[in-house]
Amino acid sequence: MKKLITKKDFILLVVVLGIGVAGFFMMNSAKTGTTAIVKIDGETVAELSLRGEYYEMNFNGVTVSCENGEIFVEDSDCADKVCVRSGKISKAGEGIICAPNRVAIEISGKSKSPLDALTG
Amino acid sequence: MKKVTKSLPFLAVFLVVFIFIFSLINDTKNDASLTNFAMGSPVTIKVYGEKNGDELCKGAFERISFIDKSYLSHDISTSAVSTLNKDGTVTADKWFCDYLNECVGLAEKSDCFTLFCGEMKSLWKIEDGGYIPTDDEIAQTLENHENTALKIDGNTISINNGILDLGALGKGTACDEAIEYLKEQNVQNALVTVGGSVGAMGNENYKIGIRNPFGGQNDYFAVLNVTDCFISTSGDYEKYFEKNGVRYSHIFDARTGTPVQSDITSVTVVADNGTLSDFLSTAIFCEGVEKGISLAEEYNAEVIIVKKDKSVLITDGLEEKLTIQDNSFVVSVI
Repeated sequence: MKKLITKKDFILLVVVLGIGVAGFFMMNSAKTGTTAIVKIDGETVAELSLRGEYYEMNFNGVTVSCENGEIFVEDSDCADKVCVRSGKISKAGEGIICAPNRVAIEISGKSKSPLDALTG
Repeated sequence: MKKVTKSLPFLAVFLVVFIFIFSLINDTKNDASLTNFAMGSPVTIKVYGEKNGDELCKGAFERISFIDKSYLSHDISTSAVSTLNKDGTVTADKWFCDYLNECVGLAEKSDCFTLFCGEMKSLWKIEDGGYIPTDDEIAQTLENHENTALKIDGNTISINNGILDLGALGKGTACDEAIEYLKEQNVQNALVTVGGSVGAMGNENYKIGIRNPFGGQNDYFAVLNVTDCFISTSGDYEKYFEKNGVRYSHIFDARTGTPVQSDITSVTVVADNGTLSDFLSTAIFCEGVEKGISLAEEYNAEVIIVKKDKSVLITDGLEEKLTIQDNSFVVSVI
């Protein structure tokens, strides 16, 4: 009598399931990352890596710096400096906003924040 | 037995294909969100479980943008408010006349709340580094403020002097308008944020963080669990300047012509209308606890008052809905 599952069947099963699982993780991992997205007026203008050496870049008068996997606003030509006071961010979904200069910085990836919105 | 052996790989393939198709279907009814700027504030719109979520987010943002550009903006010289302040008169449509009437009605409810704080704001240079005026300058501005008269006659609005500034209500109104638009589009669940104001629509349970007045832009000290409501917060930690250890915020007391000085650092209001929640948060910040709470009761609104010593007062309707995240804040129910 033949075996219920032959060796070939088993290999096929593992391969197919493997592809499925890999696909699932790929689809999900695309949402989490180590990059910061910079938007001006809601339009993405840059994707910055959080890895690597220190650097700073200017977007619409907002000087964005990155160091040790954290991103922050070093300086801004706006009056209120809310963005500068926002401190450093590094977790998916976190953001810094400079309303006067219409610049938004957000760490890409699905937010782990338990919040739907913030009032304040 | 042979049949079973052969059908197994097929079953596996079928399963994988099924999962793929399922996830594709799932994708088409995704949650969509948008972040942009209007009214000098960040705007976030989230639409849940709709096929054309992105389009709906865009539509809602365009509504806010329209309200800003056509009526409320100070930066855009052609808006109704700008024209009125510049020319002393403006001819406006029904929406703006009705809205302005509503604002005037709300403002009459509080002595220290004013729709004409524009002159005070520019005297104190709140958004421009700060300046402490002389007593004479403050007295002059107060006198001008007292003589300010707004007239709405049909579709003609006129002002004799003073600067109309709807900044204390505008962000709540923007939430109203965006939610209104999304309702017109038959959206079931959506969330709109304009500056510190939030509009939550639908039966979904939303978790809204209450900003920690002593922390950064992303810090919150408590979480509010709500459905279908509007929330606004007024605080002294966003727009302010400091001189000689005193903080001067952007919220003015119309009776004194000076930034409000009190032991309160933020006021959050939950109401069934965004313009109302925005008005109440500012008015209660000025009025203080006692008068503020009775004002909120008039409108069936719920309130969270955070004092500078980290004591927190909440109205009893929020007792079950509020979860404190930072235990250095001490909550008591009024």
